[in-house]
Amino acid sequence: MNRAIIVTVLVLLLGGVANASVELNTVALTEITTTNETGQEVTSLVPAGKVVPGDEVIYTIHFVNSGTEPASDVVITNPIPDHMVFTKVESSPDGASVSMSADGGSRYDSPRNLTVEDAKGQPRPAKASDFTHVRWIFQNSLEPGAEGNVSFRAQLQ
Amino acid sequence: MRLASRLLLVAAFSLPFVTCALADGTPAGTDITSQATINYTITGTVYTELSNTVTTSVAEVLDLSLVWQDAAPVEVPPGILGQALAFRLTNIGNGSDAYSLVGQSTLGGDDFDPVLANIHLDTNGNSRFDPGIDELYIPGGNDPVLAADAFTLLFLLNDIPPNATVGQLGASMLSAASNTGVGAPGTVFVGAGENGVDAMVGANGGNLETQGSYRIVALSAQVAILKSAVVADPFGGSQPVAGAIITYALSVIATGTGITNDVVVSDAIPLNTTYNPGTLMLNSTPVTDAVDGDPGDMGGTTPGTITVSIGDVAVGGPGQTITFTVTID
Repeated sequence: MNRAIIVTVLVLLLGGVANASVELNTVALTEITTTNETGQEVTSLVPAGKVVPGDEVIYTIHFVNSGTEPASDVVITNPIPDHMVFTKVESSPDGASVSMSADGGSRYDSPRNLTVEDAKGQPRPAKASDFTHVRWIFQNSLEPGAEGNVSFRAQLQ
Repeated sequence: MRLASRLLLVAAFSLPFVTCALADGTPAGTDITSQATINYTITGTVYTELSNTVTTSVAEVLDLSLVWQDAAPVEVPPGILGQALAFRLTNIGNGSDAYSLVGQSTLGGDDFDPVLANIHLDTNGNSRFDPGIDELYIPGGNDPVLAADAFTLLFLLNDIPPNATVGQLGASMLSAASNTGVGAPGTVFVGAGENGVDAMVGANGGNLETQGSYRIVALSAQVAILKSAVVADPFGGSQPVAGAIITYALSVIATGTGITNDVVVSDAIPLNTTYNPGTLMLNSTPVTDAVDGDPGDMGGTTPGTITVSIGDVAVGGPGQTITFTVTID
């Protein structure tokens, strides 16, 4: 009897894992500029192993639906890392809209609708340095096998 | 290894460096982490998944500023010794660093060359050069160590040649270089930063040269005072430590023409020192501390200041020397 319950729970858990099939992978990149053989400057992206204040990091989040069912209501959220200031959204997939938060992730909206309190407690428009989270809201379902990237830039303080 | 022992030695001096909130770059060695979250729905079930966490570490950037502090050329008479130019050295990097200092006074573009004497640290942290208290800089021995955003004053001392003439300008230059490394901006010194992080040379190459200058003026009072100091510490040496006795000598000479009448010399007792009662002397003759019939007093005419009337001073006449001692608190 007890064993039967455990087996049922395991099956449910396994079923859940099998269905949870959209995977994310994050990389941090920085731009370096080098001069090629013909004397042209070439900008390339390399993993951001080490940075110093003032450096800009491009966080790229790869998503893939590796399951067999389409995923709907897809939302990817990334907190702006500590010590960093959001610079801009680098890339968004077709049909995804970007929302920001300036209050630690309680409220998300279009950046122009966000306010924060100034020193006197009065609301003022949020600036890039106020943003705490960036979020991509997908309008379309993610079909099995579909993949892509979302990315944003932030500067180390 | 050599650098490490040097840093230890320097730390033992514990100079009163000031920390202030300036650039506040992210400290070297900080780990910056980022992790994304995805929410989605499959056949009516809501799922939440996390990405991997990506970590980027903050390297130490080696950057400094060195600014001449005197608002205008320091006015000096010809022939005077040990005149200070003040510079402010700030660590604008994001980790602790030590600095090597070099003075240079044979520069182009000026009217005369001051004669480089030496460099002193602002040992008592009062932003003013105090002979006998502000210790002599010894390259590699007491290189100033500054935390990120901390600064200290440095004094570049020159002797002024006697043949310089009124109105002439003489320049002198102080150089400061990071002990961790200098080079083209972006040069990386693996593991050389604070706590073993990588260090990277900042925008100014890790070293800076800054000039200050002197302007020759006529002696308005036709009298020059040369102040010298001798330190005797309680252990038989000459370190300006607490309890050390500093003997100051003020030599007064006439350098203009003719006789200067009714010369009165006053000198404030330096901060962080205490006057030793009964040590005031004029030309090796004791002068009491009280305001009375003798030529001088301590604190009576001006609080915290010795005042000595030495009367007339003539060119070619004997110099007059005032001495007194203080003890470092």
